[in-house]
Amino acid sequence: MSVVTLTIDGREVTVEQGSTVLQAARRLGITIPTLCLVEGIEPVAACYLCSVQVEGQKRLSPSCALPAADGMVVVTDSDDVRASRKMALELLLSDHAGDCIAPCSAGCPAGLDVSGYVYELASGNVDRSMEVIYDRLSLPGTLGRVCPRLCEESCRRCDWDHEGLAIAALHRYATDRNQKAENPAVPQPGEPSGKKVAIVGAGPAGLTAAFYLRRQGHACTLFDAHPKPGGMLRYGIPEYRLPRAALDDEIRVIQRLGATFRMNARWGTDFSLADLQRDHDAVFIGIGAQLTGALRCEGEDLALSGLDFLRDVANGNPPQLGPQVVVIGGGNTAMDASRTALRVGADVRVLYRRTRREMPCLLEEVEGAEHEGVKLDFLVAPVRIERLDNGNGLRVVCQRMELGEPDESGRRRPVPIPRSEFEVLCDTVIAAVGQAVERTLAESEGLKVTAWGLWADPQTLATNLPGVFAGGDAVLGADVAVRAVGAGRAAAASIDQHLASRPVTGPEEWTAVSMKPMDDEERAAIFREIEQSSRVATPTLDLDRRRTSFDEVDLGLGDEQAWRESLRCLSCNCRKADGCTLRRYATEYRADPLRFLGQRRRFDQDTSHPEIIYEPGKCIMCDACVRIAAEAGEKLGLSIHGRGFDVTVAVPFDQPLSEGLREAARRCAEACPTGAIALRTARSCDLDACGGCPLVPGPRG
Amino acid sequence: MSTTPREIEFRIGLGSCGIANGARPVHEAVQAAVREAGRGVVKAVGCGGMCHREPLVEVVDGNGGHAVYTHVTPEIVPSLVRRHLRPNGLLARARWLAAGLTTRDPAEGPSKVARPVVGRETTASPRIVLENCGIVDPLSIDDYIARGGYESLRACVEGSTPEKVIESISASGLRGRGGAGFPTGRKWSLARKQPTPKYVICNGDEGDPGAFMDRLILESDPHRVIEGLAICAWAVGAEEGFFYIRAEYPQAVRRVREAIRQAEERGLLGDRALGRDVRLRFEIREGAGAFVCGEETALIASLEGNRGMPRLRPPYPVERGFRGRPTIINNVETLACVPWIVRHGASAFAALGTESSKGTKVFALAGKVRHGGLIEVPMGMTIGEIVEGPGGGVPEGRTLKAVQLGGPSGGCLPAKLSDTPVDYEALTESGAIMGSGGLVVLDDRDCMVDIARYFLRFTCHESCGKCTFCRIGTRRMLEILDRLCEGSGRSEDLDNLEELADRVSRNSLCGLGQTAPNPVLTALRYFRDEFEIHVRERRCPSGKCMSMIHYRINETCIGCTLCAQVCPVNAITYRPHELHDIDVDLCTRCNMCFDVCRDGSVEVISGDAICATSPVVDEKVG
Repeated sequence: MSVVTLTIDGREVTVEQGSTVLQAARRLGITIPTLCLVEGIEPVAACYLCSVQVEGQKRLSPSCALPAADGMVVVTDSDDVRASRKMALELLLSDHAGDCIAPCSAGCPAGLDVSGYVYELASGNVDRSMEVIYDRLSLPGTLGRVCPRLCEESCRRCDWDHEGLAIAALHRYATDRNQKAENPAVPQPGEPSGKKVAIVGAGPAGLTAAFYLRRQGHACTLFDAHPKPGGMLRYGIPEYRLPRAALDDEIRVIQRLGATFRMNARWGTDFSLADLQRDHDAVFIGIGAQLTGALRCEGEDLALSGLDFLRDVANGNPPQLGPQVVVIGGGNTAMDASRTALRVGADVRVLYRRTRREMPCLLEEVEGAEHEGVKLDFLVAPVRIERLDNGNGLRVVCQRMELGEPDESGRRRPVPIPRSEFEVLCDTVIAAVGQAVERTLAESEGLKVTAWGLWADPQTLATNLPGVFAGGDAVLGADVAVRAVGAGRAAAASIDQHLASRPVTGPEEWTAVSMKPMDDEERAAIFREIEQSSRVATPTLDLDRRRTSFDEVDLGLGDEQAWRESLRCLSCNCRKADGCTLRRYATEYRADPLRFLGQRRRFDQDTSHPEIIYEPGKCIMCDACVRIAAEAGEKLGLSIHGRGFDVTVAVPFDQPLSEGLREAARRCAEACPTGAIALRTARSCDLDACGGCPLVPGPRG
Repeated sequence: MSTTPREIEFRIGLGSCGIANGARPVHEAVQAAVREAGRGVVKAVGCGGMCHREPLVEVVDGNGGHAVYTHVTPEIVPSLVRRHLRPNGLLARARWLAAGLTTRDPAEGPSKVARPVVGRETTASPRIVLENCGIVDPLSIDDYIARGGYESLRACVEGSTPEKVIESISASGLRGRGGAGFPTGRKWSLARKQPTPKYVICNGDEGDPGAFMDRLILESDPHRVIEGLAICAWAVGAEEGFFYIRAEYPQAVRRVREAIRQAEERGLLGDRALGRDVRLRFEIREGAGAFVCGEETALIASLEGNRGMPRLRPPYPVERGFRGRPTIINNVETLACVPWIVRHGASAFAALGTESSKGTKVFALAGKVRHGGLIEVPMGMTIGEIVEGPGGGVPEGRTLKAVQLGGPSGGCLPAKLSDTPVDYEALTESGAIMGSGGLVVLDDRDCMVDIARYFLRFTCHESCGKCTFCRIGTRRMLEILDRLCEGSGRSEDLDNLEELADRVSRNSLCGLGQTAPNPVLTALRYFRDEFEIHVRERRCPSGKCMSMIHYRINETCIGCTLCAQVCPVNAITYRPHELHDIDVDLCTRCNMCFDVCRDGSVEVISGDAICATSPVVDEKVG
């Protein structure tokens, strides 16, 4: 008897005697996942991902090693089998020390692959750098200027030399350089799908949705009440932070992708949601948070709204302010308004009811304002605003505050100090105390709303109306632009699924492991070969020009600066982030990396081998490298050390890796299902353009 | 052949247990005393089973009289020997008389310790495996031969055929004593059909915590196991065999090596064993102490010089084993039964036990029983009978809670299932397993979560690290149990624990991983409420889990200061005749105050409940 016949998932298959069940399943086109199987080498049955149910057996069997037998009945994909595989993956993930994606990317609300684009930039490849950037950001030049840069706070450099990489400055640099290039890298529209999408609001969320929907080939029309697209980017952010030319450049990219803009079209006046639903296959609502928050004090009508003020300046109609201006508030709008007022020639005093520590804006905005001459008054709140008897000017009656118990935002609540009233005289009061979402219109058209905005499913951004999606500030309340960009991209993914009549699940994100929290030894391992270096200082406009013009303050990085800064990137993401089999299956089986959180391997790095880098913390004990080294006839090779939970793979007799793997290193790296063993040059490099980077020590080329 | 020596014989137990307890100087002292007396025989024997009472001296006289001395020290040896030996010669006898007047009698005198099953005289069933233990000198082949040794091998080779012997082993109903209980006869007959060359291996890689049956047999009666392996090899048609013994058993290794040498010298083993065309070559291989090497495929890997890691079966070793050749692996205890079966017949063996489990089983009895030690009981005896009979019951004032069988691969049988017989199928049915023979008795002060954690910690540490579920899954289970015992359990912990236990057992390659969750699974099955109380109420109802208990002295305290005297951290102030008080912050929960109190005054508190109160000890008895 040289063949056996068995049944797999209800289908009969005949294979040669000696075949495994996994091989027999392949014959039927059934793929069984495995992490430890190496083609051509005897299976070890270690990972247990290839478990299958053999009829009549209580236990599951590893199909990679199980000999196919006559009459065997096998099930490869039952709920039990899938649950088993999921748990195997969750267990492996719980003991996997590494970062699939770098901490900066994990910290970015839009999920920008920072190390990816910075690596290309360091290699001198702006085109490829832009490809990576455009994969996540629709407006990288704009965000490079206005983003609060959560990524930089997460940057591992902060742990080492206290200064995160200048990530935003670098993608601004890349975008600006690309814009100026002869043949700039531009995203291309997809094949026309014949589907039409209406987008309400041409702010960062709407523009981003259009950007990605066009790349998928869907026709997009953006409707916006303002004369020009850009939303808050144009009407809420002063020119000295975001020059209009830079914004226009980026909007032009989206126009060239084929998006249509219907400006001066106001929802409720010029069209209704029902109209859009009738004429389009899907609708995205990204109307932002356009309403000004109330000052809630007597005479608040006498105050100018910060948003209105900024919009009027942006439109070229600055209002008459008079020489003395009081700005009330402590957020970015307050800072933008005060620095703008300064530029129109006023003396500006900011009143804020808490202290500097509680200010909800970027530190550098406060510093910039003070540097330019804005005075800041803390622990002060207005009680009432009165017009002076002579009719010229205003009196703001204020009250001193002190900080009490923390409120729901976690910040200490300001409490009035009795009998501490005093007066401030001025010509204009600008109120910049928050924004709100216009919800009544949406509600009247049947959309579900929340206390702060429109309701949308957090994963898919689908609203309660079929085919209608919403995102950005309209859903979250006033927030940062990068989150709106993230939402626009997510909505585009969901809308694409909706248009293709696929299940709407939102953007597919690969499961990712993070090695937080790290201990001191791990930190030491990460920084072992890293020199400390300080962040490049970006040049700024001189003070006189700043006070008197709307020229951009931040002048951006020069070529040399950008290249030096890009070399500071530690490339914290995994060398095999995209080629990791463990991660791929974890995503496929929706394994939760946090389910079995507990003690885990330590992150460590062995860089002693010329070809490969070994990170034992990422090893999942599949034994592939051990077997490959043995088969390749390595004299020392690799072996498994220790027992129980603490087993590791290492060269016997404490010999260096270069001794253990003289011949088989490349094969081991290629077979390693995770990033535990990876080639030093895991990424493709443009050798001609390369000047050396942290991944490849020493300059090459 | 008579087994009673004519001359008075002093038997000193020189098993590892005896040696560790100081039997070597006792042995020398007895030799000196006997030399001086000019008569009597001194014999170094193995262990009789009462390891906890070593050093032991057993005195057997020519008339069958018999006395056992326990905890013997070299100092009392002269008087002990004198008590039994009247020296020859006038002068010597005068000296003997004079010495008798000036020296005390042996402190303890002939022990009245009951040895219901261990003792040969009182045993209800014939001792099969332990037949010679504590009686023969393990290093004397003559001693073994004098008790019928190697007759079975000779009978096989000279008067039978392999098929007949295998048939007899099958008919006896002997099953593997390593734990899984595979019918030995069937294994042999499968091997018999395989092509040569083939190998036989004696698995002496015993490693369960608290189990030492194999060590005791190898140390006390090595020839018996050699004879068993020889019969096995001859029956299945193998010429070479190995004793795989862990290196932590140096006495066993030394004695088996010497015994093989003696057997070869007598022509019982060798290229022409028994003077015939039978080749029997045995070697010893020492294991490095990895528990997993008791698993047969890992054992073979280790024997071949590789890291001891299991592989998927099939193919089974009987088809593809050592060096890819057919290989039979039998446990020490299994092989020790073989010569007896051949000598006494299959039916004598099969007459003992239950329908599916025949013969006897050796257990290492420990825990909350009055008499611990090594016992051999007939199959079919109930767990309750073992605890009450050979074990002498749980200590005064305590109640039986459960019996843990099979060590880290086994499970806990609650007291209500005491009627469960020692029977492979009945035990498996209950969730426990026969296992290799560990039997730990638990009383009401034992916490089932803690017990489950104890055994799981062992398997977790001993996993070879190959299979995902065994390597990481057991670790995660252990972390959950740690949380439970520390009072930091989470609401999802029990569900996760159960799912992990189920999946680890169903997704592991070898017996280690497959059975590792058993202690947890049985504890959950029979004592689920205890687990839930640990999670929900953050309380240990048995008063065992240290992070969740504290000690208190109640008003019955008479101020005797005993507790204050023993407290190692001075958490109890020394104030005679006053009510004592425990400083909870200083207290390390060592339980010494509880153990020493005689007035029922020390209480263990967990949550708001009193878990245990120290017993009132009657002064007259105490």
